[in-house]
Amino acid sequence: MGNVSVERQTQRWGTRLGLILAVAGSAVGLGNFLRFPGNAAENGGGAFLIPYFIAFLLLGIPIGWAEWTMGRYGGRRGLHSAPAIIGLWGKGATARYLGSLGVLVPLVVYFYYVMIESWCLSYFWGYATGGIGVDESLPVAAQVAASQAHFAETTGANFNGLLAAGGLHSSVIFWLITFALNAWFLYRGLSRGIETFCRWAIPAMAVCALIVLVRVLTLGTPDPALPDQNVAAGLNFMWNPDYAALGNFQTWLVAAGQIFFSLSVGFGVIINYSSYLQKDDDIVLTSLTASATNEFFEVALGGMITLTAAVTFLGLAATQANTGGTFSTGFAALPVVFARMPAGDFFGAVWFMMLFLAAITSSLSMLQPAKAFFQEALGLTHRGATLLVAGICIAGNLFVLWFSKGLVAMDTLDFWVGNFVIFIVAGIQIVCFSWVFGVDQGLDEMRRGAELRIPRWFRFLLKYVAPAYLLVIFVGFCWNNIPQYFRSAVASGDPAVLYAWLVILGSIALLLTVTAIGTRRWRAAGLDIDGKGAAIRPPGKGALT
Amino acid sequence: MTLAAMLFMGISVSAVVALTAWCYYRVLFVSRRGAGRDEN
Repeated sequence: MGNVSVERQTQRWGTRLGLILAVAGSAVGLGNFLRFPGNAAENGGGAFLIPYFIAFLLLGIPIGWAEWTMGRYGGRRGLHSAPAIIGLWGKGATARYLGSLGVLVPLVVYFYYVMIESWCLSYFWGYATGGIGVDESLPVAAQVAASQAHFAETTGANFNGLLAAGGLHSSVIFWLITFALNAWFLYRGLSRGIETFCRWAIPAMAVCALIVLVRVLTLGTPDPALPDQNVAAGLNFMWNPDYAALGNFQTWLVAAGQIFFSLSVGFGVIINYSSYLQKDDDIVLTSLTASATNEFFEVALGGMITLTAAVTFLGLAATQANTGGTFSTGFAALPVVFARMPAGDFFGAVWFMMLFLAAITSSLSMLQPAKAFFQEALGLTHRGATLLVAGICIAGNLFVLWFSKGLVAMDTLDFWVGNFVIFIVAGIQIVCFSWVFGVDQGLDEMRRGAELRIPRWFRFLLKYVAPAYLLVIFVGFCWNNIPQYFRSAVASGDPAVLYAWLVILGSIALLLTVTAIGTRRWRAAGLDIDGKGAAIRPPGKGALT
Repeated sequence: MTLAAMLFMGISVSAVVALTAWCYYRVLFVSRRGAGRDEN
């Protein structure tokens, strides 16, 4: 490859606050409002917060800082994609090819996440135009059944082939709108698109959440005939500590998993976002601020709203029966709450607009790493890379949209890529940072421009505690879930599981091929992709494009 | 609502609110770079 003439990526974040909000937007998602409270209530209530905050300190903050450091370091060397940056820190081809998993995660998660995002928009539209058909006069059980039926209709969970069901199903319309919004902001670029959107979307999301929070906390006892169903009982359900749960390994596992997934570490996004920083830009305070923002949404808002409202209107038994998972809480139980709440359509619209904003700020962050990778590895222009990512995502979205029965395809992609592979990517990153590149050199790089002092004991944390902690929760996750997952997949006999696997393997093959092409291009451009210590190229136009 | 529930809720929510407020205070008012400047 004699004459490599591709344009170096020159995108930059416009402001520090914009970057913080963009990273926080990536982290804050449906899990903050729907998964966290369910996990807490099922695993010790208030006591759950003890292992949760310990995991935040020992796992979330150090791995997050390491990921930010890796990204900024790679960006200085003209690299912006996970394979190239992880290869740099892992000093060779093995790390580089493993690093392609850092593109796989956001890309494949986008295949289904944008669907969930479009459901939120669909529900918002339903409430904004008069409700979703849950009759407030019916008993709770009938309302839950109506709510579940509406969810199945919205998501096409009753049958495959929604696209060919005759007419244009509303799911397809809301998916098209959602996809177009994502593609538009991606095309606008890092600063003018993603950052600009997050700068108003995150405050808007906070306002929506605060409106709902104030409404929930002022509900009192809505039905005097049911005095046990009140706000205090709801808060008690969420926060009353069960200290015995602290002696259960499962509680620690769930708490660490919640922190891990909530902060988006190992997701391949932060490593890309931070690559657009300059060498002396602070990452320590910036990362902590983004993580704190995520915690604010999760604990102070998610922990106060969801289950409190559910218990107040549904009672303890119905809440426990219908709030086990993200979808059942968000799309089955809460619509019943809104049906029973005064001005429920208004608050339902505000709630689902908030969830939509939480989802779109996350989905936008999933597209940028793949775009940067294709741009960097294939030498595509901004427009070309945007079109390629959009094309791949349309294919992935159509697969999930077609195989919608029982949400099996979505569930398969989520389990293997949205959970299993994330552990692996985070593990690769922390091993490359602490063991291959060297924890002392890594900490030196982290301290560059830092506006907070990094405690000395973080060296021990980064080298031993965080990798060991990660390994333990990964083994625990596999032990708890994989045998059960295989049993249910085999029992269902649904071919969508196999097709989803083909999608995953096809995506891996594509990314490995592009990494191989990129490797040749990067070498031809004289870039130090193996971390052998070549001189850092100045920013701006370079040999690589 | 039990006293223990109130304590756990109060401490947890106060902790995240305080951490978030402190971080934004540092970013917006103390940082040598501040926020909103075109730092790149």
